[in-house]
Amino acid sequence: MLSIFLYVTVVSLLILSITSVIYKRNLIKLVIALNIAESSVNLFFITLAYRPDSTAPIFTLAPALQELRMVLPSPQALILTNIVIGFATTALMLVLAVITYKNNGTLDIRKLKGVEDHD
Amino acid sequence: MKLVSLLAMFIIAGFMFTGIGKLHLPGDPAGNSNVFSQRSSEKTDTANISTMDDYYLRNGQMETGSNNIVTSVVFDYRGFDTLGEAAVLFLVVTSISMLLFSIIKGKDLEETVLTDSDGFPAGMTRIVSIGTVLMLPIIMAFGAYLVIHGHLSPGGGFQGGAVMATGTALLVISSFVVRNLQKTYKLFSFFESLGLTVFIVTGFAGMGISFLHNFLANNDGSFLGKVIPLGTNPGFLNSGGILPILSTAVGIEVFCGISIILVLLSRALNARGSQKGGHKC
Amino acid sequence: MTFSVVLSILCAVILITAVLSILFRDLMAAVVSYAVFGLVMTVIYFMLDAPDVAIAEASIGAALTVCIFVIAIRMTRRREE
Repeated sequence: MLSIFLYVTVVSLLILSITSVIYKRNLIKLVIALNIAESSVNLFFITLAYRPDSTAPIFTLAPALQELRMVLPSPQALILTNIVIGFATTALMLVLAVITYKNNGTLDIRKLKGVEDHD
Repeated sequence: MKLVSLLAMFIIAGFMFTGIGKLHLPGDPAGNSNVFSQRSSEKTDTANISTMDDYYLRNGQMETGSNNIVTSVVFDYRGFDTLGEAAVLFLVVTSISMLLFSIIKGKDLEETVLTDSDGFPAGMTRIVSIGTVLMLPIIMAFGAYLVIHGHLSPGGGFQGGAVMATGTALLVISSFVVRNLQKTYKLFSFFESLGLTVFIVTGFAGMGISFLHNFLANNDGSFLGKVIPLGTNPGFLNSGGILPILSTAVGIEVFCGISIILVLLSRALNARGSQKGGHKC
Repeated sequence: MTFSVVLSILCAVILITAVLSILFRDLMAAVVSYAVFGLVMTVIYFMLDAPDVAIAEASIGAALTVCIFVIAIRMTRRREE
């Protein structure tokens, strides 16, 4: 029952972001949509790592070993690095959007015709 | 054409929603109720272990000397992957600098900041400036705590570096703009390169066995090598082998990389060339 | 039982804020809605026993991403045409 909520949220976020990448025209809105897709993938991995009635995979001051169950550590490790890299790639996309605005004067992807050659 | 793409979206959504039923529920890989039931002080037999993660949970503390299994997976079992991630961050910061220095040029490189009589920046009110000065040491200390205690409690290089970079963001949004951009950029850039270099050198130091081999862990209690009691313990700072070193290196690299991005973006916002092109919001 | 109820409410909040951040024509409002999205996502990570990921998401998703988005919007234009 618990997992159905989380998996439906993941798929809804992914569908929402793919739809808005197709239909939206503002470049910054596209960056927001890609961020939402990335968040949905992160939530999917964390949901896969979850075990009911468990603790976080840290032994410091944990309960005794006899009744100890822990969630899976390696998906958390993958997502941990992915969040930081996601921030860096978001910054790169935003800088490219800003430079596109400076060269063309618009953020609408239908109006982008490229710059004329200045040689 | 719009109708066709809408139909395709509905088909993809249908596939994804029906795929939910095929996924395993959370908790299914833990077939046995307690993964630690047969744990002994020797290395567990690999044939009896169901999943890779159960191997990490049973043997991670013994092999790496770290209480936090997530940190030991990030920096020890999958350390080569983390090296790739750090290199990606380095590359992104390099390309952002290359792109933004095409906007910031000429006089914008050494712009002097308008200050009031007490030396605070004139862009924001005094409340914001003094609040920033009060909050900044606390944020930095918490980030450094997260980096140093990464093998004992939740934290590590990536989280601590990101928390410390929040301090830089606080400086940026309260108009503490840097006076000499070239000098600041060179300082941050030097420390970012230093973090990545320390990571790689530490990886090559254990080269007798493998790249990133944890050669300091669990040797008779010398530098970072305390043999910790297996299972629940209060946590010892002098343990973990090369994990604290790698964590500090990654923390410095993430802090300096994100700080470069923030400082360059704020300077490009205030650059003179950008004022006449776009309109203010 | 309480766990499932709280988690389902948080999932609903996440969906609402994601849809709002797509639908707003004002980009600054969209970014603020995305910040709420990141903050609620932090609570969900913490409830799913991932404190490491929660710390990273709290500092990056709720603070740093909003900072660079606001700077980028101020360098371009605010309304979506």
